[in-house]
Amino acid sequence: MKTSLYIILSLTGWLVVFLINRHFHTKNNLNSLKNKISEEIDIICNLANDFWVNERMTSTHGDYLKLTQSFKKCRLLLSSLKGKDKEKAIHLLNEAKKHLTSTPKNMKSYASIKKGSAFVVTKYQYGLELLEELRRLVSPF
Amino acid sequence: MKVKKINIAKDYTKFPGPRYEELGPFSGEDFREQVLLPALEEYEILEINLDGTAGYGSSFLDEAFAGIVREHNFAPEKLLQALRFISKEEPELVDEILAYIKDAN
Repeated sequence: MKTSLYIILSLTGWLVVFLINRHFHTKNNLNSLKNKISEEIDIICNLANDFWVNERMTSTHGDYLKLTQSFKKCRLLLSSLKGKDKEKAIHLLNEAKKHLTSTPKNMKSYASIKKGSAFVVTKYQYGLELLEELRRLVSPF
Repeated sequence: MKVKKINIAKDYTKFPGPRYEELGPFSGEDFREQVLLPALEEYEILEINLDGTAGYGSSFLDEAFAGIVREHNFAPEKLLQALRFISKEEPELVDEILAYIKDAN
């Protein structure tokens, strides 16, 4: 009788330890993922700033590609998210991408981007607002 | 029914570019003229796999697909019947492209 009780208590103890361990392991992995997503959002914001509004530099094809590729990296990270926020996060990123990687139909040269113009600044700021909303959504804190 | 499968990453480029050819290589305009239009003339259905690239700018997608309506006077309904999309990595791209085609005019 005593032996059976001892075995049951031991198994219950190990199960509790296992569950607590798994909980923190999952939480750490999720926080690590969210940190990576936040870092990629930072990269997108900096690339978008240089491409659309930084008047000290002339934008190039290479800058545009870096921007589109950074969006894809962030999108692949979002695929690993779980839960109710995943769909909203993907929607926010895609909407931001539409604003920040869409060049005007009459634009045939990157040098012709009118940095500082109302059109460009509005487009950039709207994209940025969506990225900030995404950042808040995936913030681990 | 003749179906043509196009995998953009394998058949065209892993690095889709800008809107116009003047802006850089592998543009949406170039993809439309060199790949999509010839395929549309020969096949009734195009099954386009979007996965495996380094990322699409919205300009590439708009110019490649909605550009067929704007520049070649395709009816959006006719084009929508001819195109099928596959995207496991970014399923939302399909709705984005369909919206560009519907709003092309």
